Amino acid sequence: MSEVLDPEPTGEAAVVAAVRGAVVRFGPTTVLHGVDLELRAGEVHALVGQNGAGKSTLVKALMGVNPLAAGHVEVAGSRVDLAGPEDARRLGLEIVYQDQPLAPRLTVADNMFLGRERVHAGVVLDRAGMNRRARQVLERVGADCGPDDVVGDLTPTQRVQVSIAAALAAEPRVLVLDEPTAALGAAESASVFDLIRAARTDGVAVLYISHRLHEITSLADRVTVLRDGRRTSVAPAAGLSTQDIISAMVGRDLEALFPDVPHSPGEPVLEVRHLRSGELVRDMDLSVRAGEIVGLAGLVGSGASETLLALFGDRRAGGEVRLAGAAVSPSGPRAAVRHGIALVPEERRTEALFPGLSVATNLTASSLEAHARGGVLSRQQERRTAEDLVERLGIVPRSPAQDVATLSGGNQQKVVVGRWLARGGQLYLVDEPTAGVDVAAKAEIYRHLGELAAGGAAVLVVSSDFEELIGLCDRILVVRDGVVVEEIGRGEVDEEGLTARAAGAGTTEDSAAHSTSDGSADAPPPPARRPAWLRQAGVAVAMLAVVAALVAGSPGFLLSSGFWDVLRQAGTPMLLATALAVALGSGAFDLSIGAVAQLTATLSAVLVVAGVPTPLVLVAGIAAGAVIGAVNGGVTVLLRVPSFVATLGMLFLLVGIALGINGGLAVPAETRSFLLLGQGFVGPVPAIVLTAVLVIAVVALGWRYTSVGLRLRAIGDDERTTRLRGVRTGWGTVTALVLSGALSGLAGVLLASYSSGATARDVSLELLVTALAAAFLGSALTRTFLFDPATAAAGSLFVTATGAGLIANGLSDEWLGGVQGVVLLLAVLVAVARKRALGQVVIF
Amino acid sequence: MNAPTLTRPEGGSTGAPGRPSARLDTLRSYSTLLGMIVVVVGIAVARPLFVDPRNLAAVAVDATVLVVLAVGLSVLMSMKGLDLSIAATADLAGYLAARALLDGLGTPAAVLIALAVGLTVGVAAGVLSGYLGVPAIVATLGLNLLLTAIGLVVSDNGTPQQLFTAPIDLVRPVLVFGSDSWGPIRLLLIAAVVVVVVTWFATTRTTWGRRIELVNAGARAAVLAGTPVRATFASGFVLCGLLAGVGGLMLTARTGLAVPGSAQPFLLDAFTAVYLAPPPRRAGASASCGRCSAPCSSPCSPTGWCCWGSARHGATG
Repeated sequence: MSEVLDPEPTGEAAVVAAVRGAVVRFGPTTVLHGVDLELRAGEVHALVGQNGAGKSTLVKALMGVNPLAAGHVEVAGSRVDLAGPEDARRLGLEIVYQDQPLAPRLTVADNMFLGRERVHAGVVLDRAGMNRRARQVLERVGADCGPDDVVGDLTPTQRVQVSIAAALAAEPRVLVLDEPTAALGAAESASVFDLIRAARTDGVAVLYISHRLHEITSLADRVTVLRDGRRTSVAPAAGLSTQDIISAMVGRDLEALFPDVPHSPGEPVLEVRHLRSGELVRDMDLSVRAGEIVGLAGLVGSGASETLLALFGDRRAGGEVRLAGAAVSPSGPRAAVRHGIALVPEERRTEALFPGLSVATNLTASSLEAHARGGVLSRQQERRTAEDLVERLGIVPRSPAQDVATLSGGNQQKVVVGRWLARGGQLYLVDEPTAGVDVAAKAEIYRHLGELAAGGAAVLVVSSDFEELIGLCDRILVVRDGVVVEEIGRGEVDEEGLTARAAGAGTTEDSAAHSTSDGSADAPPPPARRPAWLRQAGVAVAMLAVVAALVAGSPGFLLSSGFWDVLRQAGTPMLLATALAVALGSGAFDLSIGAVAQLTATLSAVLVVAGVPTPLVLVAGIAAGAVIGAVNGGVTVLLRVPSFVATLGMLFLLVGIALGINGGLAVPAETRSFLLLGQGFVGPVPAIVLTAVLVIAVVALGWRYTSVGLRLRAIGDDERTTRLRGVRTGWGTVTALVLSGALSGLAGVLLASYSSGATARDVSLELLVTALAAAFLGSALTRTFLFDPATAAAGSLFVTATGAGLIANGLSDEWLGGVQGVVLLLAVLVAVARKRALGQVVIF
Repeated sequence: MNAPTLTRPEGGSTGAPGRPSARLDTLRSYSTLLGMIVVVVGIAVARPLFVDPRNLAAVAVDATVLVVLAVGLSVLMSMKGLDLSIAATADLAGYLAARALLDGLGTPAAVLIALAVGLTVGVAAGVLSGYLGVPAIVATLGLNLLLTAIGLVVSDNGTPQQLFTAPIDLVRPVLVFGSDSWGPIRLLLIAAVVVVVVTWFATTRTTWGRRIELVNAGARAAVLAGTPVRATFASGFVLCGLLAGVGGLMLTARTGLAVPGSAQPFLLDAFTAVYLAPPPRRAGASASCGRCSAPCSSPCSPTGWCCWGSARHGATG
């Protein structure tokens, strides 16, 4: 090691941040042993090491996430104590995480400024200023998206650009990039490298982490190598080869990265003609033979990955697919598996692994029938298979009972490959086989893929790492715009040449034969996308059509006084729907809203009877609701009880308290000033409508146009991302539940006034169910299906109007709820039918 | 519509391991069990008769309907599903079964009707949520509203069906099931135990149970592993509906009376019971139940439900 890399060099630039003698312990295990790291202005500093070497731990220590057992962090020469990422951000340290955590249903500008919003008067979002600044930075990084675009609609490249833009918008002195190009191909990565070089020119100290060693040698000024939680060296990058770095990381000279496993092609296994799928796979022709490894080389969006999914039946596809000579229809993953097709997906963590389950369970997941008799699992057989595969693939640790989530990336990937070995297959579709895998594990995975081919299987590989394709594959098919445009044999191209061909820069005569004059293939144009507003408008139009039909059947119910009657009826439900939308939109579930309203209705009636002035009754009701919300929030955040359960318990408690107060009897409240709240008028407008609309408007404006509202929405969309931006998400949850409780308290007071007292009947569940229906209906009216107070109120108005209209049209009271249920189902069906995601709801 | 994530991931904000909060985390993970013990002890102190064996036996019988409903719910919730329609299903199933008995259709027909109601509702919810993408909470909320309305209409706005005043020949088998014993053990209790044991076996020892685990751990990964995810998810609703039908029948048999709305209190109780049921889990630990490798909310721990039933009985009785 010391023969390869120099001792610590002396640099001239100022040290802007440093970690000195960092020791980090997790329980009894020490994972960092006194590591030093210096970051200098205008320098790209690469941090490399195998998985488990301590890179992420060190970065998290620098960002204040991991507490130091010994050592300290310095910023601008001064020792600092970092209590969390928000402290680091305040000091000018910004990080872009590997998976680019962004709230998917918020806009680009919202994401860029989350946690450090620009505000007027300390509260109101300076949207114009944020958009202006966002546009500037996005232009600087060359991103082809705007501040108002929804993040969930962006391509992977755009997401990386937005993540880096968000960090640069803060004008940091240190920028930490944790594998920013992991999901990108060579051409897309080039634009990221340009950004990094621009940041370096601006004097930013860049800490760059990557497993792609050629990036390190071409980009970095200095390289720190970690091994087993210790810094083994730091040296200038100039003059280092990737082999030097590998030796330093592994501690020995690694054998050939691409092991030579002899295999020879046989009969064709997969033959594809004119495959079409979605917008990206337009006209794919390819074939793979038994005992052959074929690579698909394409840029992000070229359709290469999507081709694998289409062949596996995960995407609708047309065209001709023959497997071992027989025509097959890729109708779904199950059918594909039955035909002997195996898929190793691109996103290992979310698409391949079952975290929390054992290695053995993960290994046998695709071959359950082979490990069962009459549907009953044989544990002995499962254990035998798992032990065999763990041994054969060299999975570490050796215990099949280990939780798969605790394994390193390389070992996790071996588990995924092993799953298909347990099943046996003739065609392996492998997408990004070594993403996030360290160099030693890469060599092993390449060997296993070679052995698959040697065993007679056909292997089709997609990788954004073109060096990998060149070293691994017998043939490489270049994919552009959803079409195979060129075929290249082993040893006929280098990485630079392959990148140029994938980008279409060096179209050869051969490929020109496959392409049209403009460089794109002669394929049908992609189908147009249905815009989100069309779906939103569709739901709104459907709702209006229902109301119009009811008016047509009985014109009286929404004309003249009928209109105001419907609004009066809707006053309380709209407030409760708003309360629930605030909670749901912030990622919390408040089952207690109906019980809060019932309790405050009872309390109000009792206080009125006791002669308490109406303003005080109003304040008492709101305050009681807020206190209950605070208790819900405290139990949820401090005791980490799921909000669903905390508020369920509160519901029971409140129903009991209300029963204790009213003794099972109705409490009439006849004081005139109190009745004015729910039954009075301001001009022609009922007071209850005026109050509800004003309150809902204030909440809705706050929700959409204040920093608090933005943070609550972000928590509801993606709590982890929001927390990583330095937002105290626990406080956000408490705030949302307090607001939800206060609104429910107000609704209860108005309910008591509207009904001239409190009923003895338990209506808490009824009120909750109606609010739930309205909140979900309202979410279908938003651009990104987020819960929203204003649209929830609109949903509530619709539910109330539908009920009144149905009764006006002669429907009996008994059917009313049923029809509302059907309307709810139909409205949501219209909204979700196209996507048809699984209807899971994460509660526990 | 994206499935809303309604709570934080466990341990999401715990920070680094090794912090002093580790002990607090351990305490938190046992808090449910401790809370249940405190409640039961509290009731026993306040009302010593509560721990009398005869009362405990009555409590166990009282909890049987809840156990059956919660078993179905626990399987569904272990796949991140949810069913707000179980109480309405039980109501309708019990009511139609009682009416069939009183109309002289016989016990087999009454049982079949109750099961058919549960099956129909389960299939409807399964298709809506598993195949058409309606979030489970919305699908079953809509069905709950619809079933409640149907219950009101078929019962002519809540007219009860009284088995105990009917000619005994028409209703004897059902009333015997609801009130008689096999040796010292009530038949209702045996039925509940059978439901628990069969479901426990199915969820822990069969390929179906394993698929449920896979769907829970990662639906997308399960799809790409060749698991029939939609069918598995839908099967949870079918089981939930079927057991709601069984629960409705048991309630009618136990009370000798069928009134729309009488099963409604079981809805929130069942959710509470499912939450109380699983043993303590560690953040980041396996989703498998520590005692029997069942899904998180496995029906293998009925203790929680009985305790909950006991607590309710003690508190209200």
